[in-house]
Amino acid sequence: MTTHPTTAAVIFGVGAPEGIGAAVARKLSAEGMHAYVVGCHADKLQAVTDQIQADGGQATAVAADCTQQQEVAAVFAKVSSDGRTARFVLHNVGTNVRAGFMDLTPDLMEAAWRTNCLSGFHVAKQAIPHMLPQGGSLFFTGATASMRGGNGFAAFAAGKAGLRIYAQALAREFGPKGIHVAHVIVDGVVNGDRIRRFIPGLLDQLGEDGSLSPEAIADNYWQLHQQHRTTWTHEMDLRPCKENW
Amino acid sequence: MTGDTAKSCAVIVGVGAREGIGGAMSVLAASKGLHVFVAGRTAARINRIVEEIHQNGGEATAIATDSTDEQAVKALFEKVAASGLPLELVVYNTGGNYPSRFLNTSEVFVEGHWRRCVLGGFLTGQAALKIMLPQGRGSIIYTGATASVRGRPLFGAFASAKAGLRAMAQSMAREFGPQGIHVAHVIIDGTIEGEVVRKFMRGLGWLVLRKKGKDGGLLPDQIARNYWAIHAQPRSAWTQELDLRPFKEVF
Repeated sequence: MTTHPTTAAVIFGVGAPEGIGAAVARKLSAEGMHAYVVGCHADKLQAVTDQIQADGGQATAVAADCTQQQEVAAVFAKVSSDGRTARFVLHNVGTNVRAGFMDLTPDLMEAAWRTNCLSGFHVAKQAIPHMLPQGGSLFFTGATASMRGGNGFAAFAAGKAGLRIYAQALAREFGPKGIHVAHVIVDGVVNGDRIRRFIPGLLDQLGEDGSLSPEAIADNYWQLHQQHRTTWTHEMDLRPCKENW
Repeated sequence: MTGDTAKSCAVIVGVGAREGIGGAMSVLAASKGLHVFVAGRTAARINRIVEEIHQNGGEATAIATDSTDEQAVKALFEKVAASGLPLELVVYNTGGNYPSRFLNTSEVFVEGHWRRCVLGGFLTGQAALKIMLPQGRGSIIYTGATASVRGRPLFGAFASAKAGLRAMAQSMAREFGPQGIHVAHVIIDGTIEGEVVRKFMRGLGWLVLRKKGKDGGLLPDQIARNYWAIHAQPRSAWTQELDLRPFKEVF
């Protein structure tokens, strides 16, 4: 591992240390990249970067609201002004909304779209010009809802499906220019902070390896990033062995 | 004849030219005996369709509506409810398809597509369900496109919005099917042999159609027949998604 890596990984949508964003940041810093850890809550970001630094890696926390174009642009401006170049960008932003269709409002629909889909547009719009000269990976975290509008998930699925198809358009436009765009469908419960806080009993119910480990998800992102450009994956699904699907 | 013989009604949202899906659908639904509320942005265009329906002896009302405006959609369905006619069929057919190179694409451009496809579809769906759920029956059909399932360069904003609408329709179908409401999504996979292509997109779409030759484009009246077939399905065998393309289309 180099002492001062000039290659950066920018991870949007980092929350608690137990989530996917944090696990990807740890993995990429362990592989020698400087991880820019971006999310809404400065205290959580600090916990993630402290841990990476304690493990001997390099990381910087940047608090930003990814639904705001200027805030996303500021993240890349910082990477550049720090003398680094991003080769890996992950959009891991998203909030699940569960509501009956008749209980939804135009504002809820719009908020779900801004968080789950428009933020991806902003990240791509800033990441691509930054990475075009040297090439790089632009990955999106998807969900079951990216493919399937389940009962009670109209707002979430509309956002996630919109993001997925945007990623396809980007892959087709920028693949030939050296940007590897991939969309990863996480089809199951993630053994992370959110599930522990909101549905505590569920992990026990799912049993051993019945939920996705964030570390294992992060390893898969790294594998995708390592792919040779003659053999790129655009879409990958991940689920636990026991998942009913 | 513009009398009061219709026993039920339909609302067609996103009506422009007669030679488009909305226009064809309005004319067909009226010919089946429904009173048709013809909703579109331009009064002159929807009036022309209502005139044709009246000439054919059918019943129709033109209501100029911006389907992305919550109040306008509310007002449209208040008129429908005030008619006292059971609401059998709602078709949501808006959403312009504009290309843009990604790095030149603005947030406003992306948001505009989302408003026309997803927000308008949501407002229409919810307003329709308020009337249909107490009835325990009715069909809501959304017009999709190739882009609903495939994101191509230049069309990211449109495709993203269309995919969002498709996912929303699926969710609605799963929630409201068991309550008697048939929610379907039709993927139009090809060039429509309609007014949009012939007049406004003279250039790309027009060239495509000319190259494909006879029956290389989808005819709006034929698309409408398929929408009607979905609506007419008995509830023991419902379609949620139907794709339609001309026989020569490469896909």
